[in-house]
Parts: sequence; structure tokens; C-alpha cells
Amino acid sequence: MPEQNCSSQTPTGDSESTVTMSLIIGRLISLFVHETNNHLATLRESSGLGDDIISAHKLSDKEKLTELDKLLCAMDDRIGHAASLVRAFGELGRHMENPAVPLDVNQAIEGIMPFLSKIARQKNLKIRTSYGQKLPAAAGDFSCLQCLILALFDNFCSAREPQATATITTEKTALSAVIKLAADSTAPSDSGKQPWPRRALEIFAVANGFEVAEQQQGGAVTITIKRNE
Amino acid sequence: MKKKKDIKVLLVDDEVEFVNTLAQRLKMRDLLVDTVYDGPQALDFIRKIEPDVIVLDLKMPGLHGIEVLREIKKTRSEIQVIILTGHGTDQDEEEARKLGGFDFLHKPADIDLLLAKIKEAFQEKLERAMTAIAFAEEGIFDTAQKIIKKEE
Repeated sequence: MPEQNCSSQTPTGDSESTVTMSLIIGRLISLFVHETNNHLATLRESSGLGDDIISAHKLSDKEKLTELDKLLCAMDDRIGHAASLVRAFGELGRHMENPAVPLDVNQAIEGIMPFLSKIARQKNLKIRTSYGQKLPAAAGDFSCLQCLILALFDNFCSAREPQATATITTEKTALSAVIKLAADSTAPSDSGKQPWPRRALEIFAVANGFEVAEQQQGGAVTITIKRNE
Repeated sequence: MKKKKDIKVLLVDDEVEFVNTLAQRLKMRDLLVDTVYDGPQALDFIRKIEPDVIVLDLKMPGLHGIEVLREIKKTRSEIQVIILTGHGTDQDEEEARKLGGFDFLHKPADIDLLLAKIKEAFQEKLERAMTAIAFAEEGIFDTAQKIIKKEE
């Protein structure tokens, strides 16, 4: 498969794919901003609470010192979460700048895990991963694959009952690597609610050398990535 | 007139750590605070206990904050609702105000600003209640009801 940069596709054959890519990037930015803002809001309240405790009590009060210590630890954790989100977003941007890197399917999923987790949480679902080992070297654009997984997962979660567990599995087949989205809930309850038009995602997948298929029963979705030859 | 300690506030947000910390800070400022973590829990709560002011997030799993606000205003219109969101659009704000939301704040909001808004919302609730009582006492309420019924 020839090297393909999402940002340099010709408008003739790939304009629809480019539009889809832009929309997915918009969704990613929105998720990123929302999640980062949540961390900032919690940090602000935590530091404010620390200030309140210091103002209202003597620092020799052991109980209050323990409370402050817990608060500082929680703030540290929050900063860690926010930093990993910023890193994930930065990585995504770097891959978009330089699409000609070997495609590691597991790494592509792990790189967008903060966003996938956020989508699952918004839809009241749990998320689980099962990564296959020694997957064949794959062809394709890293960031385009990440965008495709993100949009398909968004659709997949929208059509599930709350409290279900969505599982992302990777495995190797004779000719390729496969990503599978499945859930322990019944068939999609209302596929009309899906945020991404199925046809647009198919065009996007094909334009970037991936194949998407949906099982009739249970609605599991597979993304096939061809072997790099 | 109620003292500050008697202002009952319900915080509704799926960000557990955020909402619990905010609750602690408001309690230190002498408010009576309860917390719930999604829309259905909020609606369930107000069936049993009537808060004076609800501070409501918009983007929550299950039921969007706008839908929660719509339901609150349909069933318990006297409760004042302040939207506190990190993801609100201009359309959300317009919709929230149209539905009777008291104010629309963005996260992270300054605690003093939030406190001032809660007090303002509570004051308005109080004034509305006083007005309703005054109308009832003067018999205007009954007369108005008769006129409405006649017109219907």
C-alpha cells in the first residue's frame, strides 16, 4: 500500500474521507478539552479546599494535616491523569505530522485509550482490552487508524445498553492484524442514534487501506489491517 | 428568613472527586449540601427532599443536564437551578435559560462567585414564595384562578 498522509489526500477521490477525518479530529479535540477541563476544575477545588483548611485550622492539628496530605496526593494523581491525556493528544498530533511510521496496532489503541475510556464513561459502559501478541507488521497510517477506531468505537458504544462491557481485542490472522469491538450486551438497541454515518466511515476506512465489517448477530465490529509487504 | 446554614444545595455531577471537594468547600461556608452523581439520582432525590438550589452539570452519562433541568422545572419549578459545566455551548446556555435555569457558569468557577450565585438564587426563590403567599392572602390568587378557568 502506498504511503498515505491524511492531510494530503486529493480532493477528487478522498474528499469525503478528508471531511470525515476533520470531523473525527474535531471530536477528539472536544473530548480532550472536556477531560482536561474536568481535571483542572477538580484541581482548582482541591487547592481551594487546601487553602480553606489552612485558613480555618491551626497547622498543628494532626487530623487536618492528614487531610491536607491526602488532598495533596489526590492533586498529584489528578495532575498525572491530566499529563497522560496531554501526552496522548500530543502523540496523536505527532503521528499526524509523520504518518510514515511502522504501524503497531496495539500501540495505536493504547495511544487513544484516554479518549476511548472517556467515550465509554459518557455512555455508561465499561471498557476492557485484550491485546494479541506478535501481530504482523501492518501497513497504514497510524493516526488514520486511531481516528477510525475512535469513530467506530463511538458508534459501537452509542448502540449499547448502559452498564455493558465493551471489549477491544487485537489478534493476528494469516494475512493481517484484526481489531475487534465486541460487547456483552445484546444486539444494538438503536443504531439510529450512532453519531457517525456508517457510509462515511467505510469510505474513510477504504481510502486508508483498512477494511471494516460488522457482524449481523451481536453487532461486533472488526477492522482488518493488511500485512505490510 | 432562613440563615445561610439553612440553604439546602444539591450538587449534581458525574465527576465524583470534583463534586465531593466542592461540597466540602460549600459546607465550610455554612451551606447544607448533598451530592448525587447523575441525572436520574437527582430526580429521585428531589422526589424525597426539596433543595433550595441545584448546581447541575450538563454532560453526564445517562441523562443530559438539559433534560434533567426540563424535568425539574416540570415537576418542582420552585427549585432554582444553576448550571455549572465545563462543556456548555451558547445553545446550551440559551436552552437552559429558556427552561428557567437561574444562571449558567463555566467550570472551573470561582468559589466566591458560585456562593454568590447560590445566595442570589435562594433569595429569588424566597421572594417568589413570599409573592405567592401575598397574592393568596389578598385573594387575588383565587380570583385569578377563577378567571383562568372561566376563560378555559
